Amino acid sequence: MKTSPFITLGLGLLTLCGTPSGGFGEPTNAMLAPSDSAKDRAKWRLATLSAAREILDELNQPKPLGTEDRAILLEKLNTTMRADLKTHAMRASSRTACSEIAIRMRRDSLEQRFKDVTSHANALSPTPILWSDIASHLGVGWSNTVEQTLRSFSDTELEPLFKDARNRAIGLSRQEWEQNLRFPSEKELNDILGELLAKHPDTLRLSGDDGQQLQKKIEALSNPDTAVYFEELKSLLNDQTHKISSEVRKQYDQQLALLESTSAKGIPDDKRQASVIGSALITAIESGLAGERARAAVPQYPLLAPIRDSIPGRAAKLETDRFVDFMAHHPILAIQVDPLSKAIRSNPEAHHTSAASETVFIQSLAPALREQVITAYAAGANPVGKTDYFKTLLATNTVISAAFQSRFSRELSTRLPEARKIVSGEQFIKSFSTLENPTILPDEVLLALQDSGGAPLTNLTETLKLFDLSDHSSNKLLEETVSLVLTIANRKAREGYDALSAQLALARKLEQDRLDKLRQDVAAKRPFKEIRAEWQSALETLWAADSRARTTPYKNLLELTVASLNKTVRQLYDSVKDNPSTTATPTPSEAQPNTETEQGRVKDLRQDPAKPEDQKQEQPKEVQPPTPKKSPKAGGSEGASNTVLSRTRVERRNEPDGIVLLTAANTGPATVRLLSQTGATICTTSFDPGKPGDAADVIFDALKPQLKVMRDNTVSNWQQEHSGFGILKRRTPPKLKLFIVIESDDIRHRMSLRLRQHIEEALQNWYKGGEKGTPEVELDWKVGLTFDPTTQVP
Amino acid sequence: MSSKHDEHHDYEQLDEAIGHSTHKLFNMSPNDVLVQISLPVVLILAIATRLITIGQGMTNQGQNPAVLDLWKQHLILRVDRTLEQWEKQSGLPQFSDFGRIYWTNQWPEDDRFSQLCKKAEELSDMEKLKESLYRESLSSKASVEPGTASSGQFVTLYDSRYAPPGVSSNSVPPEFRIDDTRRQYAFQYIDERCKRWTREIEDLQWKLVDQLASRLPAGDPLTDARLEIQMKNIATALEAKGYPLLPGITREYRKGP
Repeated sequence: MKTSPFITLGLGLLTLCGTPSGGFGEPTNAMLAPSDSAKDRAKWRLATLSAAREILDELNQPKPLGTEDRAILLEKLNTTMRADLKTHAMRASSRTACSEIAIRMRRDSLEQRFKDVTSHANALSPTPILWSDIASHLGVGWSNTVEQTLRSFSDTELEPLFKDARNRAIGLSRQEWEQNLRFPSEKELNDILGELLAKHPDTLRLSGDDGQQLQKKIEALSNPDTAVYFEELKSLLNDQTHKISSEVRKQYDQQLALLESTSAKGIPDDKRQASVIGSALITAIESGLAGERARAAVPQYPLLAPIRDSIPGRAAKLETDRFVDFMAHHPILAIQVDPLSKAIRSNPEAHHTSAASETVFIQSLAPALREQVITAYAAGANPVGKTDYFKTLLATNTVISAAFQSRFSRELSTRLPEARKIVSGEQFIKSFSTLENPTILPDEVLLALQDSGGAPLTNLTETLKLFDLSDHSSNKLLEETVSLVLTIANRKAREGYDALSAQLALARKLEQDRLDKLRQDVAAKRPFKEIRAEWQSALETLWAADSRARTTPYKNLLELTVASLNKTVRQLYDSVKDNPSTTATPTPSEAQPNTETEQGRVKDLRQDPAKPEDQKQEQPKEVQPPTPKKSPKAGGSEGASNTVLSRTRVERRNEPDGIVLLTAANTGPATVRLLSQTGATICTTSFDPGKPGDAADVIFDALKPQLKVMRDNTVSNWQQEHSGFGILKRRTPPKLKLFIVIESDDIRHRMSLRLRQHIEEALQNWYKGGEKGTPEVELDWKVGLTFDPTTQVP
Repeated sequence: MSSKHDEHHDYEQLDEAIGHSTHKLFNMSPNDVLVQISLPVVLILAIATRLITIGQGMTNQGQNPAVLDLWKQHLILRVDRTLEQWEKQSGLPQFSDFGRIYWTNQWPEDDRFSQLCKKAEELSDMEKLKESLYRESLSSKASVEPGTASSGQFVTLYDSRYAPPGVSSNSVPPEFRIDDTRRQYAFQYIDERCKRWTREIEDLQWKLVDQLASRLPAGDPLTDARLEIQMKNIATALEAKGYPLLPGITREYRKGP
């Protein structure tokens, strides 16, 4: 707990006056000797009371400070302010601190006064008087009165004293400051700048914050002990130091600007060595500074250390930049096309690809070019540089080395294609110029193209063989030559393939258009040759019209097209002739020569019923006339239109174990039938085609027992086939082959997928639930548009 | 040396034997010694001293009998009666102790003490009071105790300076005439008594002042930084209350500390 100042004062007085008595107010018995009379006692009391009254008067009506006391306090405050500037920098805090000092001094004065009063009272008393005796007459609130007196003193008398003392201290500080304020010496400024620039070594430019720091450091240099100053002086001192720091900064910025402008365009281009460039920079800057110095009214600094220290680095950068610029633009590094072409021509194997060619030239051209560059650059330097110096520079300076590589690569990447193009053209003209002749491809080639489905040609040897060109080693040809040959060959192949395809398509169209006419011609017993000639003529007419719309060299019908048309007409003719009551149904597949019926090698997957479902292409539904011949075994499928798409599609080895025939009526539910290999209906049920998910479940539930029988038969047959010593037999797993025929677009494929999934799960479950050793049966799931088992090949 | 050493050794052996003996020869404690020996001796000495003193008194009485002159006896008789009357009038005997004064709050509230203070004002002019008391003593009719030489008679004392007009000294025997020497004796006797009164009353009044001062706060109007003024204020206040102080008190600070 903080002790009241006046308790301390009282204790001090007690100590001063002697041993404290046993209590206040009635100390007489303890202090008076036994012989002391009533008179002495009363005199002691009166003296004590008088002293208390005197102190009370002093507290209640304090005397104003005398001149001497004012002078002492003024000096004390002034000295304190100047000695502790940190505390007294701000006026408000200084006022508080000075108030404390003044009150302390005033308290000391009062304490002394109390001592004097006590001493005086003792002189008037026959027996000693202690401070406690006097205090007992002052009452309990006397310390508050003291504090009030001190506050009153602080409020009334201190303010003018404080003003005087502060003005005096400010005046002295300002005087000292102005005496000490100066420009920093060169060394001091170099140290300051070094310290500031160390914060951002990547640039020599001073930021705004650096400017403030510079000003502060100049302030500290001018008056290090009073770096903290009175706030009243702040603006004044700030202005003065700002002027100096601005001048210093201006000179620094001027030197930096000189350095940068000289670096940018003040050094002749023939100064190419860093040392030479550095010397030229220093000379140029100092020359510029000399001009400024002559006109300046304030001290001018010589070349400052940060600027001077940066010159070698800047010179090195200039050295690099100049060499790089030389690399980038000098014509000595330009590569000509002719030497490249010549080199390629002389050794085409080494230049087969562009990459190989580039590697060869990098290895052969770069060293020589490097030497030439160094020699030329050194020769152009002033003074003439040593070749070894620039050679070392090129070898060690990664920027210059990269610039050389860049220029060389750029030149090579520009010139090399030109050179290769020239050589490639020469090679093409020399060996493959006939490829560009406007000739049509022979039938063999067209057949081959049709066999590959018009696939692009990628192999040079095969292409040359196909086009009956002399074979060349591809190693001796540039890849551009090969590419050119293949491009032209593919263009010609596409023309031929497109012409053949278009003519065949026209032939199929002709079959449909002229079928009725054929029937009439057969009925009229026109000769087949006339009919065929008429059909051919019609096709030629169609093609002539079609070929005019396209740019094709194939203006006439191809032999292949004619042969295919003849065969089709023959078949249709025979068919109509053999069965005049039956409407011949010429199918596009039969009219197409690209089926295995013609060549046995051209496959149209679109028409292959054995093609997996996910490869099946949707095709426009063709209007099929009703089938004249109904299957006697397909009694359950009466009313269904089973159109024979291909009698040769299903071979014997591909015979299904069962056929799922899905048909839909115009209205009402759809029907599913499970047919045996012979076409007999095993079971049938109906379903709603609009609900594929439910329909699949219904169908599976209906077919499930028969499918189980089929699966068991398949397992049994498989086990019989693989019984005995089957060492040499290939153990293929048994398959349950199902052929799905969907006759209506209303029956969605999603339903058949669901059905397939059900059957696969059932096979899996039957395998798991079957006897041990029973093989797992795989599902062979084929989907076709329609199927007539009665017409399959036995 | 050897013989002393042997003797000391013998004593040690003897002490040791005593110390280790089961029967101690001297077993009194220091307290027993004090009670049983010292106190009787002191008592005997006191009795003897008293007897000697009594004997000396008896001897002195037989040698110098105290017999005063006749005029002196009559004069002292008359003066004593006068002084006793003054004391009685002042009430001084009632204040053998200061504590007998009645107080109300910080002020005395006692008519008897007020009367004393007022009566004590006569002491301010001591010569006048002494002459007054002497004159009153001469004029008083003192009675002589029966059985004495002058019993049953009124003896007239005559002082030519203080004799009433018309009274002649012829009728007074020379033996009862007061001359300067005899008058000086009487005045000295009165002066001693007056001084005693002054001293006693001043003592009471200093205590009064002390008591009053102890009850005054420092800010009371009666207090003052100057002792002289403060004393004057207190005396004036007391006088106003009916307790005039003797000059010896009020003038205390006029003559300096």
